[in-house]
Amino acid sequence: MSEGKKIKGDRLKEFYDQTLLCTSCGYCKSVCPAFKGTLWDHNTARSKMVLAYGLLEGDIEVDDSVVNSIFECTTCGDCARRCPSNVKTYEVLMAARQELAEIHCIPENLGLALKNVDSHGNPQGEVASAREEFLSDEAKAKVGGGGDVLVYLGCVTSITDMKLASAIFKILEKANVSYTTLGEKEPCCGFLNHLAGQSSERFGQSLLDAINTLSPRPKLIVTPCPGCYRSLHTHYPEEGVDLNIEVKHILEFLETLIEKGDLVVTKQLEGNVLYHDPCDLGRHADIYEPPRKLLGHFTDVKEFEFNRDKSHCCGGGGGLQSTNYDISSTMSMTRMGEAKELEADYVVSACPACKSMLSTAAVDLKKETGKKIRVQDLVEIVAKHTKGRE
Amino acid sequence: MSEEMFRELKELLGDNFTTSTAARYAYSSDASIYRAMPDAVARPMNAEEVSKIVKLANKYKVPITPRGAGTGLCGAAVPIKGGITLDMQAMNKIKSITPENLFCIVEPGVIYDTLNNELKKAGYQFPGSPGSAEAANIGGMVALNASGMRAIKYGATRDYVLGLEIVLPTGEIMRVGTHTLKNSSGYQLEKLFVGSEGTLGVITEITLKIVALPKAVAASLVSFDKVEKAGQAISNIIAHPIIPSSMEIMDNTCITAANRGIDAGLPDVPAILIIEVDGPIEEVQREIRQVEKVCQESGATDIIVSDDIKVYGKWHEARKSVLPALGGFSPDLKIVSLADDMGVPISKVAQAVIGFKEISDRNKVIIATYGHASDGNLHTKFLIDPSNEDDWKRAEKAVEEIYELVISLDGTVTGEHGVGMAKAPYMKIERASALKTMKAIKDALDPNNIMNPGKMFEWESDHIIMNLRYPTEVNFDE
Repeated sequence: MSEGKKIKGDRLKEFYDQTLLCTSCGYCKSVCPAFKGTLWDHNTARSKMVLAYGLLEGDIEVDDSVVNSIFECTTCGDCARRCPSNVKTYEVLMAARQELAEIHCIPENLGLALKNVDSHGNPQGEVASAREEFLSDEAKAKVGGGGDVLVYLGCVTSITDMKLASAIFKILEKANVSYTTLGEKEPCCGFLNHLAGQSSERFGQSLLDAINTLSPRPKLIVTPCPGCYRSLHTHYPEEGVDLNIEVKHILEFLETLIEKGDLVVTKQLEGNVLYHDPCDLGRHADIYEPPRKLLGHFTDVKEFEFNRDKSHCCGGGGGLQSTNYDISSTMSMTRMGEAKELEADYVVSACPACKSMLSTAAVDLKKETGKKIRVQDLVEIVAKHTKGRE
Repeated sequence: MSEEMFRELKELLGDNFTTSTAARYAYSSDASIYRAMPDAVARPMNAEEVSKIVKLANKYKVPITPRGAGTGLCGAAVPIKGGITLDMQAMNKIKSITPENLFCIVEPGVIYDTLNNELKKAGYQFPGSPGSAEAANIGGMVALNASGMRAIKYGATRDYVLGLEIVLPTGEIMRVGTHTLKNSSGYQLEKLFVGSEGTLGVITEITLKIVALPKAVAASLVSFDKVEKAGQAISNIIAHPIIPSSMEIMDNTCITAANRGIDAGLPDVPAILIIEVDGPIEEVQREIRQVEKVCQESGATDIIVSDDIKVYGKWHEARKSVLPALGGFSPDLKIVSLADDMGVPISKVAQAVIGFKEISDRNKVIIATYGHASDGNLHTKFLIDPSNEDDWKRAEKAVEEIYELVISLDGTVTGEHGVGMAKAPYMKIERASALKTMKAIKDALDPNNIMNPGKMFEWESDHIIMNLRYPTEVNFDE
């Protein structure tokens, strides 16, 4: 598929210096989930620096093995945290992916998901109307209308995770929030395209166009998906698309509702509750304390041994689910194994991809060990254990 | 590699055998300055598979280069003659830990920290403490006789190897050593294979002695306004006598790099010592006070003492970060691993450090010095522009002068990282009278010279700057 191709080098050469800065000390191996899942050196961050150097120097040409190596990574970013030379491993990797995307070298399964995005407007390949299938009557009535808060669900929440979607609207209804949503007109955020090395500018433009049809214009966008959050909050401005509206992860917004008394906590969770930091919300967006504060209304939050910036990836990031599900599932099992060691009853996260990966691993864990651990999104807990202002 | 051999290896190993571009290029380098592509990468899961691979390589006369985590600094795992790189990382089982016998049995791919985390549960440790502890494999440590900051008190890897399972270059599986703490039963071949750098066979199982964890630990961070005073303090502590569990020296270049790299918060002075003592609580309290007193008498400008692991752990982390953190010292310069672990008698540490500084100035190369001062094992790292041929030439000149100095001080060219390629010509000078015997051993065990050929005493050049993984070809013929 990719045999004998050469990269153009325009994007990667900016990071040539970084490939020389890497001493190959191997510290990244100790945290790299892709390496731990395969034990192959070409899956480590340092080897990706080596491959980037080789591509730039012309020592090697692109082939399937190079493409797979560059894409067998969750982009969790733990390597960059651990690197004592402060090598910009994530940026080098993304530049390498951009080079490969430019010459149309993308792993087959990821390419299929991207085709779905082009043809159907979502990676799952579902029809646009699927985005409204599970909306409550109240939420359906708000589609395309005016409201202070625009709920941007994202493809996973609106098409795959109906529990999360309905939890969001249940909360907004009982807190009497002035909100709107885009329903089947909601465009994909393009995060998967970004991970594949493509531009997400056109997706930003589509969302801007959709927002411009809303009247009055919303003052705030909230989303439950850290990937969507990064697209809307960070990537669109970087690519020149200004939505001109504040963007928040929904849990930051929910905290304000509790603070104002629009939501009242009704019940505490029983048992050991661990918070799992999503990589895209934590290491990539630096949002560590707000979820803990919000979850803290419902329980005494317990921590994984590896938490906050040292959190271990669930395996769901970086497009790896599409390119190598075996490695992804090894990571999610590892994380749930850590939860079992801590005798967790709940693992709570703030990302639909984390929830999906960890839920699947929880089922396997129960089969293997008999230990039941509930995996939930923080939004679902807020929906279940609060009431509106009296 | 012939098609027939390729087919046989694929049949034997399936997906654990690859000739892919990504694998071959990723396995073409380690943490040294070198690059050479293997023809294939093979990943055995047990000794029987290793044996079959080696037999094939011996039959077809194809080189084999064993490799652990690839954290070595001298190019021992770089396949300079091509052939098969044997990735041992998947053989990573801890087979047994028996504190009642004072040993554990492990496969070579076990990571140092992983082993110690398990040993800790039983109150024991394998105290080598290499800087790359979180990644380094036990097999690699044995192959290079690696150690770390605690060698002064606890020794190096060789002191802990009780027995080995080895696949010889002809493919036979041999067991050497015993499961006893001592033996006088014939030649102690297990010691021969420690430090053999994959030139005599493939290590497939290791029986390691373990020692109890200390009851207490305390450490001092000591500042000096002159390197000489730090050197004098080292000698005075040993002569006192106090045998610390570690005593690390860092010069100002290293201090600056650690502060920039990991925000270490070390004092900005010409030299520091990080001195650790361990043992029974009362002994530790007494010794750390004695260390403080000796350092004061030796001219220390500041001393911080702590028995809080969060505090002294950060000092150790700063020290361990020096190598990679030096990479961020200057935007135009990169760290390269040269002359990196020579040893001198303890009383000559200060003389060596001062000598290295003079060599650095004379050759106009930034050389950072740090290391395990208590056992005389010093590290230098060079900061150069790796795309500049002249920088490499000046660096090699400085390396030569450093080794001349070290040998003149009755030292060794490598204390713990091994020879590989980076020290090969200098080892040949240091061990001149032993080379013939080394060669005879190699010929006897490896008649077709398939095991990691071209390294150590087989190195054919007087230069070490070649086969670089950097964008420069250095021409010494001018």
